[in-house]
Amino acid sequence: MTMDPYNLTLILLVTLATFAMRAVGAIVMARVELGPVSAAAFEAMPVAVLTAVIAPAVLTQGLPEAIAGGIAVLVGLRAPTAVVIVVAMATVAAMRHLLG
Amino acid sequence: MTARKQEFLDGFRLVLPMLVAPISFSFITGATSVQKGLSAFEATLMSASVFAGGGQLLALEVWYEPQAWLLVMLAAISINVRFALQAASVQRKINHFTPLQRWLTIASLTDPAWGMSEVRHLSRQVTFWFISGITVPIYLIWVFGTLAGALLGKLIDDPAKLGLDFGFIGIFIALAMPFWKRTGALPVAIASGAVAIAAKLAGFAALYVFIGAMAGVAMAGFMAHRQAKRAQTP
Repeated sequence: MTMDPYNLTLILLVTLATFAMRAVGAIVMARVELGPVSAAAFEAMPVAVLTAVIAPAVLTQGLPEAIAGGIAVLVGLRAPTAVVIVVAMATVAAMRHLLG
Repeated sequence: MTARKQEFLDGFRLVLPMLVAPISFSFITGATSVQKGLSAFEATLMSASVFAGGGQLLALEVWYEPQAWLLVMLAAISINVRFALQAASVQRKINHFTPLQRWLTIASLTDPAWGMSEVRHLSRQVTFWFISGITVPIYLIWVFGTLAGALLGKLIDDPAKLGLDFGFIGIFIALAMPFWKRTGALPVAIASGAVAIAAKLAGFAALYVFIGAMAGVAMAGFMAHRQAKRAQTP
């Protein structure tokens, strides 16, 4: 059982930041009325963050990642989460083997 | 059967078909954590205390960047800010809970617990035991799945060969899918994706997610502003 002070500090900070998001919602956001523009901006947060993670990872790393990402998106239109995860990993592994 | 037990089973039955996602997600989170230099104990501790996979994985991406203490918090905040909206909405439906029950619910809020409580509320009062039926199995899977991933991930000598590193992106694509399908999502996705790519290529190694996301949020605000203006002018 190893514990590194650096790792433990960062784990604590991530825990606090995540708890703060949940708590702020229950305490503050419940009492604040959002205008239409700020409400739309807030609602767009998930899609904006997720796309900002996915697009660079898929499109700037190379051909295997681009092909696997594209296939995973197409599969995701119909298939459940677990299938998308497996397809993404299997395709990138196969493409790295074929192209790498 | 007592009412509490019935409520717990109701929640449990609803969450059962969804548990494949946390099983694979937690395993990858454990394997990734160890790959990034955490011990199996630290990886499991992180899952037990943070209990939000997207934020954990994103934080690990910037774990060793300069000013990591700030970047990991930005990572957690930017991907978990949705919990603020979900908690705000759930909070109104659980006012009848005891304070302890209410805070346990808020501190352990997940996408499924939020979504299913919203649906449940349409037909009847949401109870603490109903939410527990959803959250308890997810939490147990999350913690033990992370441990399993951390222990077994170590045995794999080259995770990239098996595509394990890309499982993280698979998870994010699956998470994004219902949001991408919504009307109005496309311009936001294009703005955040394009700016994130540009920022990454420009050398913002750790901040590109945040910069891209802000561009997407600005696009959403701009679209709403334009729509509001159009509605005013006859």
